[in-house]
Amino acid sequence: MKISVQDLSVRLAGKVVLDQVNLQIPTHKVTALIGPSGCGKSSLLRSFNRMNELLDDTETRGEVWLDQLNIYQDGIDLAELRRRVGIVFQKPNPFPQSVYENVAFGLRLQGVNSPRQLDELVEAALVKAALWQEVKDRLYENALTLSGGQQQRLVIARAIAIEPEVLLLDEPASALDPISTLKIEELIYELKQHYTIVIVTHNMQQAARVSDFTAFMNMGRVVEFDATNKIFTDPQQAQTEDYITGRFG
Amino acid sequence: MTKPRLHTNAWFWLSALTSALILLLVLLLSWLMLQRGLGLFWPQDLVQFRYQQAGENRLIAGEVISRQQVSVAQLAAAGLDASAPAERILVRQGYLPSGQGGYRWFWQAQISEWQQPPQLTLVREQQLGDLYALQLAATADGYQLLLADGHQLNVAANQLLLLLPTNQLSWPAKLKLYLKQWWQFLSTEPREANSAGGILPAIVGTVLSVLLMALLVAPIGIMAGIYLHEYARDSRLVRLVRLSVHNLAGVPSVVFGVFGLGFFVYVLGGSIDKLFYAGQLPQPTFGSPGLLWVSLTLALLTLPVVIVATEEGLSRIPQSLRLGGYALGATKAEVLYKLILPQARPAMLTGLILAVSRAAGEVAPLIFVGVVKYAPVLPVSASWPYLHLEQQIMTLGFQIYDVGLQSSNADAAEPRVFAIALVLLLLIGALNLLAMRLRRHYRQLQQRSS
Repeated sequence: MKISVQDLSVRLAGKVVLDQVNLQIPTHKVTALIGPSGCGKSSLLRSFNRMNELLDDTETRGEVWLDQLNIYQDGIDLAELRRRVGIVFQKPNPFPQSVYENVAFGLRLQGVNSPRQLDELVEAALVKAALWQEVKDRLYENALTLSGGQQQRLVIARAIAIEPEVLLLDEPASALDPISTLKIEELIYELKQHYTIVIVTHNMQQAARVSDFTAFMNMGRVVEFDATNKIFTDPQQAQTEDYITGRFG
Repeated sequence: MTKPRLHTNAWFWLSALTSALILLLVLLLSWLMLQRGLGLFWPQDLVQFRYQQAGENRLIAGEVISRQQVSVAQLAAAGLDASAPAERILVRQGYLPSGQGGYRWFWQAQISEWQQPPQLTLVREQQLGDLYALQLAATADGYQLLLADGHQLNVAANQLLLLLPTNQLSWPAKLKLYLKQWWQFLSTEPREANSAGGILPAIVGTVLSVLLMALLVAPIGIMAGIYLHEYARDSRLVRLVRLSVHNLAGVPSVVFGVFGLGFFVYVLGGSIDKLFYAGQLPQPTFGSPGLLWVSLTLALLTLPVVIVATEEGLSRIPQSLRLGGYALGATKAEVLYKLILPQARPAMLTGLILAVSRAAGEVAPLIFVGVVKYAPVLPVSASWPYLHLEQQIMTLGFQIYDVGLQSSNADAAEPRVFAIALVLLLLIGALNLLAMRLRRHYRQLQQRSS
């Protein structure tokens, strides 16, 4: 198990968004979090690298273990945690800099400064994110000139350039067109060889296509967690079945 | 459904009209300044005429400054013969030993023998100012002048600033002279209680005090803005600080002058004197008004502008940019200095531009803390410490005020006021242009990449 969540409760501005959640995320697999809007899946995702705390007025109780490390213990290095657990948001957010600098940003933070080494690592990350062929001739153009799908893959390249162990994807394709979505899904399939991936999605088909395990959440609780095949073909809970078949949610 | 459409249209025209009005005002201001200010040094034709009125019979020589139609009603009100409207002209006669020189209005009807003789010469002398000589004869060490009131006057060559038979000049020669006079205006010290000569010390004083102010206010204002927006939590204290900053912007500027005198000059300056210049006491060094206190007062005055601009610039940065930085394992400081500040730099520069424009035109508070009517010695020199912070300075804003309101000769002062105002406008324009280029440079840098 890569990530182990134990009795995690989160309040945002006094409102309970996660209530006593327990979950085990397996290593080098894709785990999908599904559920109706406001069920707490994004909050759960963000609690894996403590991004919740960037919002004011957050209260977290419980434990989240990354391998042997409780990331909610005192004195933890948040920057180091977020290097190990990268995150990609729904809306592509490239920095208003060149394509190259976007990918190099995290590397420079890690102290990689030699131009040759940077060139190699930037290229490797862009190749992994299936973007290299499209941007190799425009590395020094502003990243905001790329299309939405390219921007999202650039953000993924930026995240994997610093070699995280876990990649959190918060509805990474919901703002993209079908072709870009397909590319992102193929990319996720490639990436799971090297990374543990947790993806939040609203799209049932997407969850069924890309994930190995699925957690169905509702009202701040994990209702059911199992292998994706099992969840989509033989759910144990009535709620899960209702949601998947579209009768509720 | 027709009514709302009509309203939209009305709003469109109203807003367009007000914008046009503002544009018109700006154009009018620029045109007036250019027209009145630029005319000051154009060599006018010199005239000579005989004036006979109420037993007075004099020969007059000089330059026509303006002409005026006086209506019957105005004549009657002044107790004059009001049978028909009359015209009068204002003539600049220069210095005359008889004491009848200077500016004077003459009734057109009483003028005879109007001519523009080529030998009529404009003479500018160091002590006496401008003279209009009917005839000119060379002597051993200078010239002997014959003036319009019949007096002879000897002028030494080394006291002579200008000797100009204007009526003989061709158009290119006049242009050359015009440019030369402008250059003298910009590059020399004032004479005759600021009513003549140049304005170099005022230009240097304005530029120096404003630049020094920018150096003081930029780091303090930007740091304060960053703290308030990025670090401070939304507490009662922070809200109080923010409210104070906004209120500071509303304090009348003259109050800052009084504060500057009371705190900067007496308390701060007095302490500096006691600590470092004790040997020279009771003669004050920093304990009296001077350049440093001028800049510091200006910095305090413009601080809210810079703080508010910085905060607004920071609040325009999208939250997703910050999250993107944190997601890559950046610390708060790294996100701030590598992602946020480069984006907010143009906004901060805009704040600084506004501050500089505001500061360059201030007069009232500065009279208290170190700007004086006459301080021809520049606060910069070639010897150590190069910049004399304790020295009193002149500024363009105060020159306008002083020449315009304190001058003994209003007719002579008016064109000069416009000329100085024009210089001040151009100076502020140049400073703004510089800052705008800097801002564009940063924007392009940003777009190209870091």
